[in-house]
Amino acid sequence: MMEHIQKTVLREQLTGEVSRLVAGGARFVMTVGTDLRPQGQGFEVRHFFTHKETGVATTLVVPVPEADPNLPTISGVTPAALWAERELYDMLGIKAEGHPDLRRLVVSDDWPDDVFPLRKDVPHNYRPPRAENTRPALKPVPDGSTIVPIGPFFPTLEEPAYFRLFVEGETVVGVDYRGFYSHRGIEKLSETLHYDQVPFLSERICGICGFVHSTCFSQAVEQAIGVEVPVRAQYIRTVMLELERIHSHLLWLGLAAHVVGFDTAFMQAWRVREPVMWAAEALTGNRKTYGMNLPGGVRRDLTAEGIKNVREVLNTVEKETLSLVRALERDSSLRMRLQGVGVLTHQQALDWAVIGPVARASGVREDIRIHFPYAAYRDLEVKMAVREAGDIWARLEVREEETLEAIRLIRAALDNLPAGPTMLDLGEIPAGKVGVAMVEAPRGQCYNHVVTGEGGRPYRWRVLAPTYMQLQAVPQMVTPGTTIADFPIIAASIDPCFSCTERLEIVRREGKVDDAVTQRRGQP
Amino acid sequence: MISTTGLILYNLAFALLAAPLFAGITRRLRARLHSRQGPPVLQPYHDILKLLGKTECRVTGDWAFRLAPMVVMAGAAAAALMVPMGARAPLSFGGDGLVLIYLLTFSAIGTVLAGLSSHSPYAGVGASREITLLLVVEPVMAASFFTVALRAGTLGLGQIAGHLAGAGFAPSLIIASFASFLAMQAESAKLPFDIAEAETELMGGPFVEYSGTPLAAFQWALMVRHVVLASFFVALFAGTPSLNSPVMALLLHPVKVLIVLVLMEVVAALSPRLRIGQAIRFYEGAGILALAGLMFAIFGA
Repeated sequence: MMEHIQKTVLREQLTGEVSRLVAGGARFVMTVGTDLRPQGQGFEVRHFFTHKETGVATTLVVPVPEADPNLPTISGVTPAALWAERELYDMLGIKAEGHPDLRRLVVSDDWPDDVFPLRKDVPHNYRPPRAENTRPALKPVPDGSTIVPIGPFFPTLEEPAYFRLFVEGETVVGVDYRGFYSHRGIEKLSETLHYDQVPFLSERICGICGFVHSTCFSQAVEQAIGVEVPVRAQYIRTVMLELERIHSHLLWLGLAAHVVGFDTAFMQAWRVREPVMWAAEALTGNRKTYGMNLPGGVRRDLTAEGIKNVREVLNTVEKETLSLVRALERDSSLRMRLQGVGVLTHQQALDWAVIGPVARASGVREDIRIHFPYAAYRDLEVKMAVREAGDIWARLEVREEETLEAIRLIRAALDNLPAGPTMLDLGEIPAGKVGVAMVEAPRGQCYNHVVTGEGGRPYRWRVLAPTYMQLQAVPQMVTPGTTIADFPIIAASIDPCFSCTERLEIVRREGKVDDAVTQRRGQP
Repeated sequence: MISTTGLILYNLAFALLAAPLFAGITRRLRARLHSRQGPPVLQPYHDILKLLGKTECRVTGDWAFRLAPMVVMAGAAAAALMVPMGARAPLSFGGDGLVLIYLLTFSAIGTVLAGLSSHSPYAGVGASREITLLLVVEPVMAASFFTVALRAGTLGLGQIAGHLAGAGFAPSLIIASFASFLAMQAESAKLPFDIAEAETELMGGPFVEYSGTPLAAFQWALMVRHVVLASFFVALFAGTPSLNSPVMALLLHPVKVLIVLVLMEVVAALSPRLRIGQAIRFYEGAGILALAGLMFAIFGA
């Protein structure tokens, strides 16, 4: 279990503390605001940092009085906190003083100004009165440029997201973003659910990498009460996480190819991907949204037949992925479209605290599986895929390499699968405990913060979805000379999952269609 | 000898009525390359019929907006009368090849008109891309045509077709056939040059605001354009001598057209879409190639 330092700092000391942490190489992960007024205190803001070299996580806990709900912004030190602080105001009404852009991020435009949903005095089913003619606060258009809207609905955005491109001719000179159209308040909802219900809600945050979320939640609860789940359960989680990585990366490969009009690669990538879904179905009963995780372990054991099936599928997928990768590497037109486009420099990647394949494509050597190991990654050695170029081609190569590495990891996990139980009865979970967990998702990093509460329910659950940091950094990837033609693939290159970021239930459209089809098939 | 009226009817029928069938076959082929099953071969007919029956939704009262689909369709249909389709071209005369190129350009200008009159940023960008492409692609097409014309000593497509079959291939003709094949890929708005429509970037570019009958006209005209371009290519480089059996020539023509269209579809299926700047550089290269071919022809090779 990683070392976690929790340090209470006063508001006046905050900026200095953050500067010291960041200068020491710590990376900003997320901000969690909690309403502690029912417990006779004020608000509490937690800035969570990790340091990959030492493997230490640091939380700066800032008490914020109810009468004066504000604290200094830390976005001047680490711009990655810009969105987190906007969210802090939207959800809890805690203002980051000195923040350059406190426009609404999460709540919708017709939401009342004085209702902050995550405050405990707002019920989870509160419905604001209907408002007319509300509009998002938009950035002004720079002189001499026109607007090309990408969204809120657009063919290559599977989910609603609104990018306003400021263009001169075909050249993009600026971007404005309004998203969170899919926000459904599941953090709030979780406060009404039991610990053995939340993983199922959590898994539905993402239609592709749902297992990441349920694992992360379960691990946060386990960490809060200080238990280790049975080793076999840890291995099973790793197998499922890596299966998910394979199908997620292949899904991305297909979508990215589609965005640049390369439908042959799109269809082939998805053809290769499909057996992975079947293997997951054979193991868990579901091709997606496996329903396997609970705090304490996994609900289903792997059968010998299921394992044999997975091995066979891995052999096929490995062979076909390799031939697909070789074909793409040789494709000079694809290279022309992706090389040197959407570049995120190493320094920008650090400043904006991006993580996952996008960071590793910019030469950031960080992988949660290696630096903050969990589940079976404590035993299995993960080979990191790193590229230096920082462009979309580098992201493609990193993901290709990770797909093949995931196949190797599953084989290693299955070879060393320990015997034993898969579930541990956690008994009554005491209130007032804090647990944090991080999981390396296919799209980046998943982070969960859980505060346990009374009655077997979490008091506060905070989710950092994997896309959050990367999405925030997209405007940095619009380098001078970027054209309208490049923007859709730049946005796609972070493998965005908007509804994940916005914490919705069902995400990608194709996932939804699949589910519907399965349901129909299941019914006579 | 078949009457001119008969030929007009034949060419129009072939270009207008058979074009969706060719589109259906190539769609099916594309699906197979994708490892998909693909739609029925007759699907393009159903698509057109469906669109014809839909209510039209007009975003603007601009006359250009209403005129554009007619220009595109009329240009494509008129071009169909200029090109031999297994027999003599119905309106053949000494310089019909040149007129054909003009008509194809005229039809493409209709697309630009559609984009500019739609008052949509996507359509506007699509129109500007379309006209940029036209400017670099047309010279390649024209240079290839002149190369062949120079070899044959005539600008008439009928005579060119007859000439080549007798005289055989020369280096300049090989270059010209290659250059004009490249030009056709953009002329027919196929990948990697479907830059003006670019579904995943511009949502159909110039056509984004069209619906119902006008949209059917655009889609149908594009299919006609494919058949006309393929027939043009066949006339330049794969003509059958008129001395042979006319029935055979008539029957052979659809096969040749299909081969050309299949080749184009394979190229399209294997390419991601280029950026407009990359396409311009590509056609500048193709233009130099076509000019080299023309030089060869001038010096008799």
